Parts: sequence; C-alpha cells; structure tokens
Amino acid sequence: MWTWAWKSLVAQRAGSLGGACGIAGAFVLVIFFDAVWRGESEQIVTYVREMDADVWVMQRGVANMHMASSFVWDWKAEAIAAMPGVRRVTPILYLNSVYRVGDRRSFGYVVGLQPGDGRAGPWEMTAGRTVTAAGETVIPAALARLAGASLGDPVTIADRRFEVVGLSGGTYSAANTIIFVTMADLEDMLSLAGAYSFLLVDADDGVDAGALAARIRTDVDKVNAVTQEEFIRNDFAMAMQMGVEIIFLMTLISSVLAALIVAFTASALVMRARRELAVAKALGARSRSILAAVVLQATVVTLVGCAIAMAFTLFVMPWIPAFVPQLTLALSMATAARVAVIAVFVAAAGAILPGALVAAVDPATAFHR
Amino acid sequence: MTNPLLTARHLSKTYGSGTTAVRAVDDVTLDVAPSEIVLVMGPSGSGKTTLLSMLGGLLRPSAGTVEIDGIEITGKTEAELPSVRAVKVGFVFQAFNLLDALTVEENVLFPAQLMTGGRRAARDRATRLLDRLGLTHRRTALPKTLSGGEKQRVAIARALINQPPLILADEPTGNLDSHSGQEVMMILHDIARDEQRSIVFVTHDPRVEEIADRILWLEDGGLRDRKAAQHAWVLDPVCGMRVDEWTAVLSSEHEGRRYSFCSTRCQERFAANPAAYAD
Repeated sequence: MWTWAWKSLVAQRAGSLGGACGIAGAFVLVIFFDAVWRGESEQIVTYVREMDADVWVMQRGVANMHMASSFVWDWKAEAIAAMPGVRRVTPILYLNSVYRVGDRRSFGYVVGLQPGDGRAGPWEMTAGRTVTAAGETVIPAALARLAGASLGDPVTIADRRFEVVGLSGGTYSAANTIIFVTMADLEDMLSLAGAYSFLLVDADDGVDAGALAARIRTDVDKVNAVTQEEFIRNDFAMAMQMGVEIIFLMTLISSVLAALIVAFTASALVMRARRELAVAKALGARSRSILAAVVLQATVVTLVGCAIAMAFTLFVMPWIPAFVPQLTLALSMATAARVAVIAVFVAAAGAILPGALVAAVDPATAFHR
Repeated sequence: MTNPLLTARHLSKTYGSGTTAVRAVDDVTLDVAPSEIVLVMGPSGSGKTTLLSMLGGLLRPSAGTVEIDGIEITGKTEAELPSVRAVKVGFVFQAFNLLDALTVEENVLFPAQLMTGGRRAARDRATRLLDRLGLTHRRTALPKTLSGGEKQRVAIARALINQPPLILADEPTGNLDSHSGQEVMMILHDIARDEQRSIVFVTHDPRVEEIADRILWLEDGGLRDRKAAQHAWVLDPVCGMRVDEWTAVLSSEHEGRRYSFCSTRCQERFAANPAAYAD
C-alpha cells in the first residue's frame, strides 16, 4: 500500500500541493503571530536593554517599566549616588502618553532626560541631535517616515507641541514607541517637581550588581532595586503574560484551520481514489492498511506544508519589517519546534475524517460499471 | 462431481425491508468443480453481480453459505475476509480497475504484498505472468497508456499473482473489441485448463459460451434452467459478430427494426450513423 499511497499522492500533485500550501498558510499564521508577539515583547525591553545599567531603582511595589508608573524622590537619588560602589546615578522621568505626528496618532512611551544627558537618551541617532532645551523632541525615524515628518516638524504629546530635533533608530514598533523630551518639559506636563520615575545606577568596577541592588533596597526607604537582567526578565514576562492567551488562541485557531485543511485534502484524496480503494479492498487489502496509507498521505502533505511554512518563515518573513516598519518580528526555534509538534497532531486529527471514509468504502463497489 | 472448489447453498440477498424489500438473489445453490469454467448469464438486473460479489466474499448474503476451497467464508469476520480474498479468489472486472498511479508490474504485484513474503517472493511469478500474457515490454507502463486488451491482460495477471484456485470474472470482455475480447477469453480458458483454476464468468458475451463447461441462467434472482430454445443468433450490424438476440442486453431500434450488439462500442458506433450499418 505504501507504493500506492506515495505514487497516487504524486499523481495528484496539484491537489496535494494545494493542500500543503493551505496547511503552510495556517502554520505561517502560527509562526507569524508568535514572531510578532515575541518581537513586540523584545521591543518593549529594548530601552532597558540598550541602557545597560547595572541596577534599576524604582518605587517600592514596582518591578518593571512596561506600562508602569513609578516615582522616586530626588533626595533618594542623591542618597544612592553617595553609596559605596555606585559610580553614577542617572534619573529619568517616564510617561505613557498619546502623541500625534502629522496625521498619525498613537500611544507611546515618553522619556524625560536631563538636558545634555547622553546616558539615558537615544542610543542610535539617524538624523539631528538629542534634546537640549525645552520644546524639543526626538522621535523614531521609522515613525517619521510613516508620518511623513522630518526635522523641524511639530509633534503633539498629550496637549503640548514639540519640535522634532532628532530621529532615533530602534525605538519604534506597533506596541512600543519611545519618544524623548527634556525632563523639565515632562515635569511640567506632570505638574511634578523633585521626583523621578526610574534611576539608572552604574556600579564601580568589580561591584556585584545583585549585592548592590540588595543594599539599595535595604538602605533606601521605600524603593525597589533590581539588576538589569531581572528588570528585563520582569518586563518580558509581563509582556508575554499579557499575550500568552492571545498566542494560545491564535495557535489553536491556526491549528484547527490546518487540521481542517489536512482533513479536507486527505478526504479529497480518498474520495477521488474511492474506486481504487474499493478495488484494493476487493483484492484483499485490509482497512487498516489502507488507513495507514491515507495517514501516510496526510502526514506527507502536512510535512510538506510545514516545510513550506518554515521556508517562508526563514526566507520571506525577515523582509517584512522592511516594508512594514511598525512590525518587529522575533523568530524563535521554540516556535518552529512547537509548529513541528502541532503538525504531528494536525496530521493525526486531519486523518480521522478520511479514516472514517476509508472504513466506509464498500469493496463490492469495485464491480460497479 | 469431484469435491467442489466453490459451494453456495441457499444463497439469498435482500436489499431494503418491508414492502420495499428487493430480493436480488433468491435461494441460489451452486457447486463449481476444480478447473471448471461456469458461465452465469441473465438479463440486466437479474442479480448476476450481486451473486458474484457474495461468491467472492465482498458482500454478505442475507441467508445461505459460501465455501471456497474448504473455507466457509460467510462465517468469517470483516477482519478475516480480506486474507481469504487475497489467497483464494482472483477478480477480473469489466472496467479493468487497475490502480492508475502504479505501473503494470506494480499493479500485478499489488495483491502479493498481502501474502507472506510480499512482493519480493512474487516478483519471479509476476515476470512469468507478464511474459505469458505478452506484457513484458509494457511492465513499466502506466495503465493510461495501455489499450483495453492490455489492461484486461494486466488485470488477469493481477488476479493470478497469488495463485488463487478461483477466478471470478465480471463481464471481462464487455469493454473490449471483438479481437481483444476473444484473446482475453482464450487466455482465461487456457489458465483454467493449464493451471487447474475454476472460473465463474458473469457475462452477456455469447462467445464465452464456447469455452464454458456449464452455462447457468439467472433471472429474477434465481438460477433457472436454460430455456429449450437456447439461441437466436443474429449478427452485430457493426462488427458482424454473432450475437444471441435472446440474451443480448445491448440493442437499439432503427426504422422499426431491432438490432443487437456485442458491445457498447458497437452500439455507440451504430447510434452515431445507423444508416451506415442498417440493412
């Protein structure tokens, strides 16, 4: 039966390939949604990662930056700066706010910098300079391109107008846009004085970051201090936690879709070969042998679909952000492995219906003229 | 009769139930001896194919028993029947029923994979069969490239690959022209004689009568004695072949006269241009 299964599959290559492409489409959806979510989650921690502080200090009860609010009094920053093992403390103000660039209106993270601060500001400038005075802003270059904005154009953040003085790289995605202004402007917008949101702490050489964070938590009242790694981990976990149900749902929908396509393709193969299967049964082939042949066909179609999806993922997906800059994609081997596992179950599930059709084939129909 | 190879006792098949019940085969009792060629004839809808399906273990009878080579197949489970069919029965169909994706040799070897030793053990036998049936040069060809006669010869080789003692043939010459039909008929005749295989034919083709040891007439589901007036020979107006008007199922009316045909091909040719063939 194996020879028949393989050769009849090849003989109906157009239909089989169509089914494989459909399955590939479903798998690409799984990989794509996962890559988008991972990419966005990675983008959420980009700022923290690029700052590369040894320790991050924030209000007690806060452990991450994404969508968090934190206030730390300025005297606490001075106290931390005076602690042994601390080389430098860089404060930032941080606000989640709505912005408008051209016709584009969206939600972004606004970081307030002390004028001339090169430590906590944009890490890659594609045009212009960083903020040095009130009313200035640095926006992502990708956002400027999408909105048709350039240096000197106005940007509205909340109810305040700013002028674009610089364009930054690596700071834009669908879920996380980072805009830089001066700390004074942000203080004014928040009606706040004498407080920061987060403190970036750089330790002296040889000082253990974990130990330093522990000392800060103990010695400074009502603050939380975590290492860079822990801060990133917390933010990433928070983002993934928010998206895990969506990813699960998308994976489930795509898997069901793939299973339906496998079932349809394999059923079509069975229906087309109904007479041949009746002949095979009449000649003495057992239903389980024929079923095994149909499962082989379903598995081959699924694996070809899986391979097409992987090829698309490897060779096409990396080009997507070039055309859709608001998307940040992160492809992972874990997703590929998950898709491969899903493929096995999809093939098995997709073979149930054709299996029932095989069982129903009446060998006596071989005599029909 | 020596010990029969095939025995059917009070075989019946009823489709439907109550007032809509149709008795397709009605209390048929039949013995076929080893090497015997039995011809089952009858009008369309008389139950010939239903009878053949039950004899081959493809269809469960409503009543009665079938025994092939000492094995009572009507008592076998669905799981047991395939191996009985594979070993004891070879089928030859009117529509050839070759597997389109497989080559001639693979088609012939297909039933062999169900036997101990599988295809490997049967390969030499397949080579001999292909040689005997004049198909050696076509062993790698696909069915779609074969003529009707070649297809039926492949089907016969496939039916013989497991060396079954019983061949069941359903209108094996029905889709063939007269030359190919004659050829196939003689091949089956030789096989029955040379290899001691029993053959049960279901056919309308009166030529097969020439090789049959026994002719049975099936009508309204039951086997009947053949009528005294055995034949009413007329000539097929297209190919000129002798056709029994009494049993022929392929016939057409033209200008008030009835014409009988040996095959659908002749009937179709006649229908396309009756004036060319009518007297």
